[in-house]
Amino acid sequence: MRPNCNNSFVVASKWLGVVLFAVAISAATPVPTGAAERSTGPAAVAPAPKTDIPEQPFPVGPETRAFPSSIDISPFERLRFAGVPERIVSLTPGVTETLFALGIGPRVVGISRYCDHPEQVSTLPRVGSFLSPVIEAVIKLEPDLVITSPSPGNRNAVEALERAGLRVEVVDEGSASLDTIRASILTVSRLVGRDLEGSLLLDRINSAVNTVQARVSELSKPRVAVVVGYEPLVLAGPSSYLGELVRVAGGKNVADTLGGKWPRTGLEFLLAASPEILVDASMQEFDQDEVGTITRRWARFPLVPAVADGRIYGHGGFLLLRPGPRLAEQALLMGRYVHPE
Amino acid sequence: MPARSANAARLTRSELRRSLLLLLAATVVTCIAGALVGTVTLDLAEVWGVAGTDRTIFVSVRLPRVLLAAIVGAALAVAGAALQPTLRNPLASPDIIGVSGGAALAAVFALAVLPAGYGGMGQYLVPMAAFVGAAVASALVYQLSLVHGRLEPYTQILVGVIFNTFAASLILLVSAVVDMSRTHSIVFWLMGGIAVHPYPVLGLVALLVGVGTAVLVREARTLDLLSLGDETAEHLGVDLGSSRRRVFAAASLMVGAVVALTGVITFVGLIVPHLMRRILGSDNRLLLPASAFAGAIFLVACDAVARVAIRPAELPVGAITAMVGGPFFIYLLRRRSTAGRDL
Repeated sequence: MRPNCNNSFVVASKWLGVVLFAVAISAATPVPTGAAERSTGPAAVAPAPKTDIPEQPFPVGPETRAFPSSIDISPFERLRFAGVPERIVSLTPGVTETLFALGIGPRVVGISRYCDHPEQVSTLPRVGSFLSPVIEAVIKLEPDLVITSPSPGNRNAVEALERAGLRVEVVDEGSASLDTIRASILTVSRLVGRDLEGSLLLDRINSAVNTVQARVSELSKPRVAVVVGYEPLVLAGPSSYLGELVRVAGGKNVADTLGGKWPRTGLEFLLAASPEILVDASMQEFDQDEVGTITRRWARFPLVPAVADGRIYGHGGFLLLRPGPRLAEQALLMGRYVHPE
Repeated sequence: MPARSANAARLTRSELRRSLLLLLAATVVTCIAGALVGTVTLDLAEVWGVAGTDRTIFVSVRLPRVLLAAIVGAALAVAGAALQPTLRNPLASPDIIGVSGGAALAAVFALAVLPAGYGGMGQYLVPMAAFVGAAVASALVYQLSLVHGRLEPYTQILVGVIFNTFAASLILLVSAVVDMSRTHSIVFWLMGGIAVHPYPVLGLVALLVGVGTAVLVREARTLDLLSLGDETAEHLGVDLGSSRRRVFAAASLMVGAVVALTGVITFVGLIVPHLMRRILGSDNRLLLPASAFAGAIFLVACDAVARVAIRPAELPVGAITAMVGGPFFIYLLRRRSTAGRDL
């Protein structure tokens, strides 16, 4: 007699795997327009003194500032300190990683339940997720900046935080491509007044990506499948950062023919595509023997070349599932998967 | 329930007033208690004293959430209390007249296609879609339930149930084709939960619920007569058709308004009226307002549990209401069947 209730549960359980993945790579966001404007538009970064920073010699930051100044406080510094947030709550794993990579980890006072890198975050208070932050807990941390991801489901939470007087910035984590990840890193670095570190970080990422690309340019292009959801089967499509990483690593993504970001498909498609390399990034829980578990899972399809050759790989302790500043490591890992030689 | 009916018949105006004042007091106490517990332990001195973080949390997060829980609980329970006699079915609840199915379907469509816009009215696009969905669904169920121009209770229950199942299958379909990053917003909405909304929105919903409750309470006498059977009631001068229509419209309005904000929260509208009927008898003049208060108490309490059970994370309140409500409802059913009594 209570079909609505029952069927909600069916929906919930049926798509739980999908949801877990989606949450694991955080907002993932194909979400168009509004959010992007907000995160990348000049208005969003107004408080940060972005134009002045490149003139400052590296390293920056009050602790390590190298240049002596004859005056107590330069106009530039005033600007910098007026706009730079001191207590940051990050609700997205990628943003948390970016903040630490920019060297302002100590200013992060709260993180999401999915943030797992770098190690220092393990002691920070967790305040829910980007989709459902625990509003009271966020306010209690007294942050002067909250960064979250755009999602149609978190409008209400964002507005509630703003009503409580907090500054909330919505930054797309950029899971669509390497460029969107780069844009996300730049946006975050501007928000926290670390433009220079941001561009240095991007230089490092770009050179690693270029190295991988140069190394594989002359090599063959094996067929690669990146599984991001096992039941139902979801692959990394050409318009996802994982799809682009496969291209960078010199592979041919079997999901290219499906198109899109995270196309759903069936086992038959995957078997027919006969991937030579299978990256199964669908494991949701931490597993010491991740590769072993995945290998056993696929052992029932011995005719797939990847299975026959034992070329089955995992997400490397969630590394592949975190669009963010570890792009260099991700490119190297994918490179090793596709062209171990 | 002959003994109870006799009791109810002797319910005087002052007894009625005394019971309702008692329930009102209990509701206020529960709301205060609910506002004092939460994820963060508040320093009461700071809440009443100077403006600070604790005060901000209390005023802009804790209080609106508790008030919304009270409004939603009251709306669902009073709608259930009125629908059970109207549809002459003990399983009648706000969930089976199609309203919540329609609201859920519209909300899911909105979550599937809307951009994640922030600021302005953006956050109310989904609730507004859900409210429109609820209105369309109840109009549809109403039209389909007319038999020879009359609202037929059994037909209405069947149509409502089938409509909900149909809506649920469409929701599955939408979830299956929509981009994966939206799927979790959808599942999250379907779980139902009390969010934090600004006071003007609470005021608007309270107004809609108040109007709906007033309409239902005015029908209390008619609902009492309905328990005698359609024919007897008509002989006693009840205009069954228009009465059922008013109950249905008022219940749809209230449930649509609250479901639009909270998603589907089950069991409140089912078990609270049953519990109150057991305690207070089936005089609808008392039962309807009493159910409203009891529903408010129940949902405020469940939401408090949802907020503190696994601090600092939160549980979906729908899980708590169903966890408490499911076993309790079975218990009620068993007691009723061993006692050999009907509703």
